[in-house]
Amino acid sequence: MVLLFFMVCSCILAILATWKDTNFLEQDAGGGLKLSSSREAQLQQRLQRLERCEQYVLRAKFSGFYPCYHCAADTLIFLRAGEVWKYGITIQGEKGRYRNWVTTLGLRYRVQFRGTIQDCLRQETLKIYQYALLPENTRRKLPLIRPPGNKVDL
Amino acid sequence: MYTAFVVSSITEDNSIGDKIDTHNLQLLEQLLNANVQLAAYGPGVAGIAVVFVGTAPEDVIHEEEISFEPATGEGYLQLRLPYAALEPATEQEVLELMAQRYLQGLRDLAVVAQATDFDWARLVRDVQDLFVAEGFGNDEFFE
Repeated sequence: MVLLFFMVCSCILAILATWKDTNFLEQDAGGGLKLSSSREAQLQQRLQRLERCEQYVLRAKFSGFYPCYHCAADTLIFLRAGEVWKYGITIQGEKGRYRNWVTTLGLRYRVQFRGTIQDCLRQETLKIYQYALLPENTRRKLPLIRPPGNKVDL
Repeated sequence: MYTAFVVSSITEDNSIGDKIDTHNLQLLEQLLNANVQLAAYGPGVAGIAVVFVGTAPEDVIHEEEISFEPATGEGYLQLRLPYAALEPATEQEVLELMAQRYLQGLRDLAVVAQATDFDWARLVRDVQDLFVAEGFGNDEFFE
């Protein structure tokens, strides 16, 4: 009875999938459901991309005022050329996440680490927290807890 | 964009990256903005951003791109520099490579943008003349 119930459900789902043109499911050899081959390929591609991660730093290209996302009442902070504005991570396929920052804020992008997404997150976390100790920060009258372009800790 | 000509980079955090940014980026950006007025070539192009990609060949994250957004009149180019040539090059030689790649990119952008009333050919010629006058190479180098 239970088996019959599952078979009926699988059939209904398969019919629905076909009817709604949702081609992410297909039937396996046993009559059950599995991910379609195209969907499975997307999954593998995504997992592969997560293995190819990059941790980067965005630095000021020119000395001047840059947005600060957590500077209390001040929305701008002065950075000397070369100073850190933000740490971040990106993976393959995330086209142009940094593009706006580079073209509208006058920043340059430096790759600091490559590895898996887990390793990159670790590096990013370390750098965001350790920013507080950088000489460029400690020289300020009011040092920042994190880089001006990082809105939150991780 | 914060200025008509934006020049930036994606580089490794090493001595090769140091040859590309910051001095050479600043120099190119300031040179173009001081000497070239986009409005003089016609309507439709408000800004051109070039980001030089100076990362090792195993970089699979940053790809070349040449695009133009008609709504804003902004061109965006991500242009890869030949990494093997960057390693032995001096900072001046890297600047010349950047100038050469910049002009190639500008020619490709002209094809992509197709802003009908904008004189791309004259812009490319003027930028080339500017680079030659600055000593970044001769006309043969830029052809």
